[in-house]
Amino acid sequence: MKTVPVSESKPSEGISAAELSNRFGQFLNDAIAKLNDDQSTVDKLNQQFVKGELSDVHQLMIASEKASLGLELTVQVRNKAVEAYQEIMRMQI
Amino acid sequence: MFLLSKPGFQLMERALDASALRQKVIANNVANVDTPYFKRSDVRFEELLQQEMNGASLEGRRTDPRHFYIGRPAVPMEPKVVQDGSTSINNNLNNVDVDYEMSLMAKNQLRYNVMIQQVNNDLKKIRTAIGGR
Repeated sequence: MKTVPVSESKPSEGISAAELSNRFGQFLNDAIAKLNDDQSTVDKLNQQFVKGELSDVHQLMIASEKASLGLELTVQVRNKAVEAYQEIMRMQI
Repeated sequence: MFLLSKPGFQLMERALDASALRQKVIANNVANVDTPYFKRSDVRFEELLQQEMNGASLEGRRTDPRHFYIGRPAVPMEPKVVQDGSTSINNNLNNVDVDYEMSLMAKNQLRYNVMIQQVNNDLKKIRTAIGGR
């Protein structure tokens, strides 16, 4: 998973809020695309195993765990984002 | 359930069916180790599946049972039980070798475990995605 360096996300360097949110959106998009790739790798290996062409089962297991962990991470990040949004919405102005 | 009707998942289901059938066939072979004139059977699934999936022909995806099949005859992928009549290791024409059957059974169990684990993982992923937790 690619992470955005902290220095890049400093708002004081003349980056507008729109630009920042764009970057965050792009980051999330990339993460989802990567997750999808992981899952299709698992599907491909599954297919090979069922056909009896895959002799090393550990590859399948590792790919499967990677996809599972990626999904859980994504869901947790999403939960944190929703939590933060709700926190801001509750703020008194 | 639309989430689980993707081809990969259905393929795993069919493969599990084949694995369960193979278990029954092997158990039957072992049970008949002393039966005169008995010939052992095998389940053929992987080779048939390979032939189907590695074939050069393209198959049209059907979204409705009333649609025509495109590119392939309408045969669902089924495991086949074939009898091995070519060998015999006993004077009464029985050809069950218990050691061989046991190793086949162990292999089949490993395959079954891997596949059932993958199916469970798939279901767990979908559940995580739905629940958002």
